[in-house]
Amino acid sequence: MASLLRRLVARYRNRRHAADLKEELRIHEEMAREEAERRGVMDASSEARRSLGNTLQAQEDARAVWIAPRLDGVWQDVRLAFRQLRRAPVFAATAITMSALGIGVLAMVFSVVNLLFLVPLPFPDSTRILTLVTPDGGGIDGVSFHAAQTRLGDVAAVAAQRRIPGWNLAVGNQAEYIGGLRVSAHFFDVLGIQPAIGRSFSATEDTAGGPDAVILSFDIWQRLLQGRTDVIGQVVSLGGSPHEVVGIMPEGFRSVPPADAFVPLRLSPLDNTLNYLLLVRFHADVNEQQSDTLLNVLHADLLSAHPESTHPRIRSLRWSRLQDTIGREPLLLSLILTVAVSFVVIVAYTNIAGLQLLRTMARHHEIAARMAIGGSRFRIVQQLLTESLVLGGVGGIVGMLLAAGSMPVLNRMLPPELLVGRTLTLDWRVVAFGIVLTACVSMFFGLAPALTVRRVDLRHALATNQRTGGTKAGGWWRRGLLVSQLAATMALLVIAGTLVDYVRQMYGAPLGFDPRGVVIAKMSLQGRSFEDPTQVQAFADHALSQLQNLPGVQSVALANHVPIERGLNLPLQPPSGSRVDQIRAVDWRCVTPDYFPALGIAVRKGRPLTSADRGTTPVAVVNESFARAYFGSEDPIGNVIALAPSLSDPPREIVGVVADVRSRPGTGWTRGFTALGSDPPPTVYVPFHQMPKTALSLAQRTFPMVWVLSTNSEATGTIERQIAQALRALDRETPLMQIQPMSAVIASDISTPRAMMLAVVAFGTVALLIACIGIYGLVAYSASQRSRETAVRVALGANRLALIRAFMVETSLIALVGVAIGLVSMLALSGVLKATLGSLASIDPGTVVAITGLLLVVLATAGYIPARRAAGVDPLASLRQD
Amino acid sequence: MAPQIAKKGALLQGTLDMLILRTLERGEAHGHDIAHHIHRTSRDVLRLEHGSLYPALHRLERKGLVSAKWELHKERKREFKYYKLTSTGRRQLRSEASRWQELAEAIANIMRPEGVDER
Repeated sequence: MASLLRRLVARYRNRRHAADLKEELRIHEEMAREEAERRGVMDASSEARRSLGNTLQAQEDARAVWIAPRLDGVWQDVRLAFRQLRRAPVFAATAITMSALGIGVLAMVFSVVNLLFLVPLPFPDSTRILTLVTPDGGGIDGVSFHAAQTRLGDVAAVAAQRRIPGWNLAVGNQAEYIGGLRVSAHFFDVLGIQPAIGRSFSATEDTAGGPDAVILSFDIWQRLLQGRTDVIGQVVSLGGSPHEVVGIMPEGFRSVPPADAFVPLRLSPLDNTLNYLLLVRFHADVNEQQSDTLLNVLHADLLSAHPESTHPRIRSLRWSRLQDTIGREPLLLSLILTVAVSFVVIVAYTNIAGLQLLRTMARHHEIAARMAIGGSRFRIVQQLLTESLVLGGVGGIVGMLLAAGSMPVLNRMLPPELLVGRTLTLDWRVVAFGIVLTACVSMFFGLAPALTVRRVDLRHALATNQRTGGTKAGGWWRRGLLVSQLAATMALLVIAGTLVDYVRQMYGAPLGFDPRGVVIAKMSLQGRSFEDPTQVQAFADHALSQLQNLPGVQSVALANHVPIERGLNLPLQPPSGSRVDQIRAVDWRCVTPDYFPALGIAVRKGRPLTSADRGTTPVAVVNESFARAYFGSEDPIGNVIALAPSLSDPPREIVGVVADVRSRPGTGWTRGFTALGSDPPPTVYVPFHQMPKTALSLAQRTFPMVWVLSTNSEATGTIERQIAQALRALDRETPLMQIQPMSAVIASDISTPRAMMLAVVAFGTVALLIACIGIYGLVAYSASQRSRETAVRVALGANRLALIRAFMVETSLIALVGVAIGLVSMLALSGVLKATLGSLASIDPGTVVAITGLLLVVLATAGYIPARRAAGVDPLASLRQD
Repeated sequence: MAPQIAKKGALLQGTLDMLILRTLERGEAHGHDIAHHIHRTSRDVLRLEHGSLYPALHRLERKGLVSAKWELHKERKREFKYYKLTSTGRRQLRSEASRWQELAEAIANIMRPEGVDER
């Protein structure tokens, strides 16, 4: 070790020593000359030089002493590798591109995963902020919150929050639809960030009947209040009711989920809806063991405070980091992407390895010659490994640059709920991991060609003068690489095919309604002027008549939801005689009568809702899915259904059944990511004018109202503007949230799976291309290896076709094996795909057959071309070469 | 390169190192002096290619058995690189000298003329 260190140090002093040496030899020569002169020799200088001996050799030897051979060897190898790569630019470019792509995309995916799970939220000591959730992310009720406060108040800051999806914030004559959060008094204590201006909520404000206060975000303060310094004490209108501003949050603060306005939660201990998120930050001296003990105690408290039926749910509540609750859904998506990317990386690197293998074999002659004059096998192996490392290293660096360059783009694509104020950056850990991974992978795949060197038979290689030597071991390595490459490609292609199927099915899925010419406009009816149902209905009637008169508008309806989007989930009591025997949530929609004709929803049985349904007889219309689920093949008309009693909705008689319409699952009847990719859930339509107060306020608090207008106008832009104008004229304090054609809603539903599909298809195509190159190379190689044999056979009159067949037999076998392995592994993964994407994403046997066929055909072509070329070679020419 | 030299004149190289060390035991000296001394003391038997002396000196310096310094020679009015024996060098010289002694005796025993009494 010490000598190595000395060598290291010596390397840098090498030049000085060389200079010293030169000087010493010069002096020595001079002295020798003087001596010779004294002795009386004739030609003193030549005598001196002779006695000195071989100066050059001496210099070399001395230099050899100082140059630490092993270290300098590595550097030499690196330079040699670069030179070799410059001489084979195509190979180098291909290999570097492949590994760059692979590593780059891997780095991107890992960066996202890193952000989701490792980068801490922008709160002080954010890993200590805990929530209490069920395994599927469900929250707690008011009873539990107060129990938690009592039990944990001494050792922790306890708070609760509840999301307000949208609120109308009006200041002066400016209005904006923003996101809000209802928070309890200690919310900011738990997060660890206090308002920058003003204060957080007081206990009085957090009690029912207390003064209405609001804390605004920095951005809203700048935007709507012009950043004025006297903002504290200002009164703004939130959801139509006045709130006093008591605080402004610091710049850059993001809550989870992001919100622009915070109001007191006022959670009553009698509230038993499960909509609240509990947030806890234990004091610094409480360790994990203690918090677990407290959890058990809390469980006991909760169990005793709740009815028997909720006990299983309560027992499943666990502490979870706030951070972990954010990334659930995207986790599955990123898993799929990671798997796909890994396949691409495997394919890319096996291909590089295969190419290197071919090159190594082509250089067997050179290698044999080197070994014959005394080169050590070890050094040659070392050099080959260095080459792989250089390739991988350059590819890795390019890949990292790719990934780094893509960060801004990815940042814009990620939704703010995931980012929570953080930025996606190429973390040094991802870079380090990427470098290590690249090094390991390139060394691993570089081993294959390097190890074949060991078995090179010197005599044989030199004697035959073959330009392409080969070994048995090399052949098996090659086959193995190719098989794994094909398996990975096959698997990737099947995933891609399944996703294409999935998206295609979604495009082709019967919507249940006709989106052509339909425009929807969202508006949130909140505030005092809309608290009474009669007020809302009066407003609706007035608005509907105004909108109906717009040119180009055929029919107008008002609803609290549109197709594709989720409805209101309300618990329905099981009607008598139904096949369902427990309270389950159903999709509840309040609509004006023109809803069905505006959207072109067909009526299957009975009648739709009409304008006559304003009266006192409560009615409802259900969809086919509901009828099937609750009544099977029996006629549901005439049956009476009722919501859970707490919602105080009168029992309603079913008067009609309408067609199923695609909607996002949310009630638990169906699963899936998207509306188009899932089965329609059971839905109940209720006349808008018959909506009772509780349901109305519930609807208003969580969702905006939607105007549905069916138009016959081609000029969607103009008509949208007219509609917007008309709506704005209706109520100045109520901002128009959004206006878009129905087709845009459908498109956004598909957008994520579509993007994913495109990505995986791109991966699959790249992999297929690479596999083709691999097959081409393999066949070309084995053909050239047997060129002499081929030449002889052709000269003896062999049939060219038979020769081609002979070449391709081996290739086809390998292709079949690889494809088979890929298929088998895919079948294993199909379960995962189904769980993630829903029932539509099953692996269709037709797709599999098609892909297998495509792959085999492509591979056959890739193999056929070089085979034909080899068989068509002039026998004399190839024989003469040897 | 270096391994090849070792194979060719392995015995000579090791011995050369030892001879240099012994020369330096008498005091510090520069390269020419050392070569001269060996030539003289061996009574013209060992005639180094002076050019192979310097690699040996550098080797010894690398191994830490000698240390080197450029110094001004008073009379000659020029700088010479003087080599000095280090304590490690001294120890190495001791062990090599005793090994050489053993080797020399062993060879002498084998080479003794036949018929002499085993005593």
